[in-house]
Amino acid sequence: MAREVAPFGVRVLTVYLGSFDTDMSAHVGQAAAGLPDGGDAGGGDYAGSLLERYLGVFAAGPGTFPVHGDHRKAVRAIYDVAVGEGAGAGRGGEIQMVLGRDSVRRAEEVRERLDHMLGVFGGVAANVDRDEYAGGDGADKTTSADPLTQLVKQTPAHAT
Amino acid sequence: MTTASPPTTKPLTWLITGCSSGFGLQMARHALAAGHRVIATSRDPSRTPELVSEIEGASPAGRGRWAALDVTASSEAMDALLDKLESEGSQVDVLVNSAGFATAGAAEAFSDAEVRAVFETNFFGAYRLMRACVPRMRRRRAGVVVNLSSGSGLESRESLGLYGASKSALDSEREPPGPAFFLPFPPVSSLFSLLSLTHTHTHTPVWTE
Repeated sequence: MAREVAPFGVRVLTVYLGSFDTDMSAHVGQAAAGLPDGGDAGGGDYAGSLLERYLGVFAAGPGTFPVHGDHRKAVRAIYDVAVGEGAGAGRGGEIQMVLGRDSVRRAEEVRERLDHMLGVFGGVAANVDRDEYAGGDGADKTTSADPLTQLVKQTPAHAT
Repeated sequence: MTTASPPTTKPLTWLITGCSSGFGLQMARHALAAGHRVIATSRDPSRTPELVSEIEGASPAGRGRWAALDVTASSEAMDALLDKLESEGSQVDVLVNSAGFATAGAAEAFSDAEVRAVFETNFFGAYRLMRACVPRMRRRRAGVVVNLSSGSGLESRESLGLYGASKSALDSEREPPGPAFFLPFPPVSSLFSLLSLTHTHTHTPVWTE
């Protein structure tokens, strides 16, 4: 949607929040099924797993784990970016924002995972074109009769 | 409370969901302190009368308002709220989708009801509000939508796959690279896989976590 409505002066900003000092984590529900195959009662595939430990942490509540984010500071930053002031000065075109050290780390992990995927499969990925498009030089053999590809070419990577 | 910053922009009208606590409440407080008009909303304002009084007590009278809004309700209530604002000569300049919640569990074992409930608020609710507000913003050639997502929307840790998927779905709906096609989490994406040829997608499907 961001790209569709940007030409009309409408901006869609997504904020990737880490963990903050609100009561959201105190209200994380637990799935009714519990751990599959009786994990809760001992045994079961998930016994001792990270999944079980995360569920235990949410069940015990936020008092049991430290939360580093100050949601008041985060709101100030979001406000600034939404109105283009302070931390948002000159950033009125940004459509993605990350807040919280843990969220920064998450974004970096995703980037690393993508880099890994490209490193492992980049070669295979580039060699599954239809015969008429396959060529050792990787040249773009698309023609003006390929409307979808022409549309994609008009889309810059990061612009809004 | 927040430090008021003198607005260098003209006063804007903010519509914020999930104002009974957390980010929604603080956004309402901060925007009011900065001199803007705020329509704070929550499912049941009667549960937080002190907050309603606080927001509606901002001067001059009417600058802060509180309305009941359940994002899981039909679009009609949202359109009615916006129509009412416009009939008063006002409009929503900034929409903040803050209402949301998480249910933790094994990714392989959520019930249909649990999946629907999380998606109903986190995805459908936020999308419905965008659908109500964005056409009006577009016609005015101005507006901002702020969607509060999560690191889980980028990639979720164990137990938060459902929550992450619901956030990721909304993030994808406005994903910048490529055409803005819908990409709900698999397996519903099969219908859209043809359209996603050119869509680079960085979000983790729920069961790769």
